[in-house]
Amino acid sequence: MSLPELAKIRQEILNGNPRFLKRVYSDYRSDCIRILTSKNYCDNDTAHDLFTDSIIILRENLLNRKVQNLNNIKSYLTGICINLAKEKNKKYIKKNKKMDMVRLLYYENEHTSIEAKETKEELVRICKSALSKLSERCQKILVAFYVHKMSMQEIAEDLEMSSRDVAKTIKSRCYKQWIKESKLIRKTN
Amino acid sequence: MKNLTEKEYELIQLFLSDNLKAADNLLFKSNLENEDFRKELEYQASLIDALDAYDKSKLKETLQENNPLKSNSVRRFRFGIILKYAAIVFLIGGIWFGFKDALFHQDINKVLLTHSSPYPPEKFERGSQGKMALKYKEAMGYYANENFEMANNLFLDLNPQNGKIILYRANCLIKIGKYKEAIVLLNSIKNTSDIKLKQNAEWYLAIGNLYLENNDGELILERIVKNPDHIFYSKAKKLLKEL
Repeated sequence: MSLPELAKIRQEILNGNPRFLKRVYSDYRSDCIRILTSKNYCDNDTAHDLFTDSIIILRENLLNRKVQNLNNIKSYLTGICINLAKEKNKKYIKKNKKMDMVRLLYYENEHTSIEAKETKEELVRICKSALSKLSERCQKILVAFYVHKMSMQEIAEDLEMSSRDVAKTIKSRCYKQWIKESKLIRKTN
Repeated sequence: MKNLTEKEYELIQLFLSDNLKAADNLLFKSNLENEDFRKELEYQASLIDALDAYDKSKLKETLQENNPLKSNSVRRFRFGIILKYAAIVFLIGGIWFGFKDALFHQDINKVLLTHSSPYPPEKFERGSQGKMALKYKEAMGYYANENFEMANNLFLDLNPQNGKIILYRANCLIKIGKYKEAIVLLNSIKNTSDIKLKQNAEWYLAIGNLYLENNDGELILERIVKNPDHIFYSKAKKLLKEL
């Protein structure tokens, strides 16, 4: 895949068009999952999750221009999936050890994490509602900056703004509005 | 939360955007001692995390929209297997339910009959000639002769709160098939401090529940076999084996 093609895909993704990602998802899913399960990296359900995560990583890497050459998408995704699986297994072992330590100390389970999860879900709901109150451009800028970690220069170029400073000013305004809206939603709840 | 100044908001935004300059860094750190500032910082940080989580979950949903988690062929294959097994289970279930009553009832009743001999009637010494004592004797006579209906009525006329009489009544009720009433009575004495009475109540509770085909029956038996000192330890063990 040539650089202009990658740039076109990046532009599409940034504008909220998931066409390319959807195609990659359906074309390579079964192959990647088969590799992960046949090599005993994980079970089938975990493989599904890891593959979806690998698409998210592909999106980040495309947006951050980390992908310069994408001739073999299958190998690229499989590589990500295997790394994720290895990392997950490592974390699992580590977590188990920590959990055992905590159990030895308190003989209690992770009750607080349930509360934390509930709060997170509530925040996601507030965030989504507040975001929907903003203009499409604001939404794109905030997602590009805070989620995709793009620089203001990249955002200005990809979202066709005259300069980095203009993008910065707009981002700041959008951010303030987003926080304000979220607080209003929080208050009415 | 108190309103923060424009500068404080700017500091938070700069920090969360990784754009805090060295000069602002000192100011930012000193502001951290202000609880309102800290709360605002935490809130905005958590909202940004929520934005990340929301965006990723939105993409996952989009990707899976027309691509259900399991591929269709796998699903169809699994669905076929499930259907096959469901049909077999349904067939066996039908046969089982058709004959269950005849088979099961016959068996369990047979087993229980051999295990559920009633609490032995009391033997009387000479000299107990009071009115109540005579009635008690009469009730016990009916009980010994297996006229449980009459025995129950007479026991009821005596002291209905007496633990031993409750046990006899419960035995009468089991014998005349009023298991639920028997269970109620036995439950009222199962926590008594009289060990003999308590263990008898447990045993007959198990019997009553087994007649009603309640799981409690086996559970009580399992509890009994955990205590080798229980009067009904070996009986319960034997009954459990036969069930």
